[in-house]
Amino acid sequence: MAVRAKRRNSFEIQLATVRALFLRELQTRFGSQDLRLGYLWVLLEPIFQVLLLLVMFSFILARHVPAMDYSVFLLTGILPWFMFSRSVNRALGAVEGNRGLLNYRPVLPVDIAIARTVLELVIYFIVYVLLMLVVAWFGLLDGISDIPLLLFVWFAIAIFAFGFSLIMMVVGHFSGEIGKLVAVLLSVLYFASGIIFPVQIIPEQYLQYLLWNPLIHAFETARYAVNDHYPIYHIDFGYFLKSTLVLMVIGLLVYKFRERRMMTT
Amino acid sequence: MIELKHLTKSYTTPKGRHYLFKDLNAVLPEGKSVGLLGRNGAGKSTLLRIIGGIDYADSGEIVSNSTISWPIGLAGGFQGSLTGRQNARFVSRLYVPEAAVAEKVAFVEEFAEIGKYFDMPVKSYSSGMKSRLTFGLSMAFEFDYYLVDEVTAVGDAKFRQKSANLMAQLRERSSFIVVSHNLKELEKQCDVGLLLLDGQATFFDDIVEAVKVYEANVLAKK
Repeated sequence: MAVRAKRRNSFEIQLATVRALFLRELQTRFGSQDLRLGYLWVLLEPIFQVLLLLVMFSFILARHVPAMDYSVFLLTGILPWFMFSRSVNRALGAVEGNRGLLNYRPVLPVDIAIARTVLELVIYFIVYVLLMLVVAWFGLLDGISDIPLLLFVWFAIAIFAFGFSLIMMVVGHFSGEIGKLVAVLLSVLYFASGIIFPVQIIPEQYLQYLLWNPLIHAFETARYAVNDHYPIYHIDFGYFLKSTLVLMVIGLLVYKFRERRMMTT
Repeated sequence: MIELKHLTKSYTTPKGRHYLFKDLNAVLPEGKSVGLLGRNGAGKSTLLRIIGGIDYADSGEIVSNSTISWPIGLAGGFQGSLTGRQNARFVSRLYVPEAAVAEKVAFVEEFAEIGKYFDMPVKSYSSGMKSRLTFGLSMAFEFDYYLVDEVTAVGDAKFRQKSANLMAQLRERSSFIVVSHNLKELEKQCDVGLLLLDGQATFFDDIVEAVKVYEANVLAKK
């Protein structure tokens, strides 16, 4: 018969819970028995998406960007974007979609948001590394200028995504309608984040408004980390970090304020 | 021991605020199993969830340092595309350290007796198999209190016998908080009773007494 489990402190419980949710989500999304490809699918799905976009934009539109091949430019913007938008989209319905999980006392809504953001970070970072290796194999990449900076930017975007997800989780629970609106706004943000074109081609009088979007600063800094000849006039990574901090504080506050409400039927 | 302090729970309805209970106070004594009685919609299941810490009252609090299970027989947390084993492993990870997970999963596998279905997606299970899995999972962990919400006997005669034996064994060290409309079963399983009636809760030291009052009230209203 079972031994009465020893008391764990709340940090140990949260860590174990996030880990359990992470593994469950990983298995659910990609390791289920229906898909014989199993865990390989984790990587194949985003790879196909990116390849499609790459073919569309680099051959059909024949874009040129300074200091790097267009494929490197696109990969370095679109993969962190996928990480961000996936986390946020899933956060919108996270509370209603996981009612069943909240029946287990150790599971708090914030744990679901953490597990998902970590999962998206892991998936898209691995895809990024793999695709960059493929691009390098084709001779389109001349090394990485600043690997620590690149890693740090990825990490910062994940934190940014988490703060934003917390807010979206609360908003999505508060009103499904607003949630749908946010999903639409996200697709607008996609075009306003300098993912498929370099922001330097935008006329100065419009650029100043675009630069309010913190994500532009993160993606452009990531490109600068890949190749330090990449021009980053007007780009301020400090602004992105400050925005991340503000988002985290707001996210944690609204979450804490609404946590019980989200768990109440 | 579980102390319910000034609990108030209400819902807004189109016709105004509906109170399940107002300023509910009770002390559920150590080592006693509790039967929750009340009509449909009186708030028994909600109270059970509030005691379990997975729902919240509008005001008031639950004071306890006992460990409390999730509602037994609950299948809501299962992911249909995952196997019984994967689901069991997930729940085990929530409640015990990683080193003890394998032992818990082995217990569930043995107890549920669903053979190779244990390694098939839960959505392919019959309702009987799903019940065996959920019940086995609840029994794998030791809590001070088990929450039982209208669990009707599941499985065939042999499985029911096995479940009854295990629950009797658990009863030596743990207590049950039971919601049921089967009054005979309640009298058998519980020691004390909590009756929810018209937004008021009354505590009875003796479940038989609680059942009597409940019956008198329900019959009188008809």
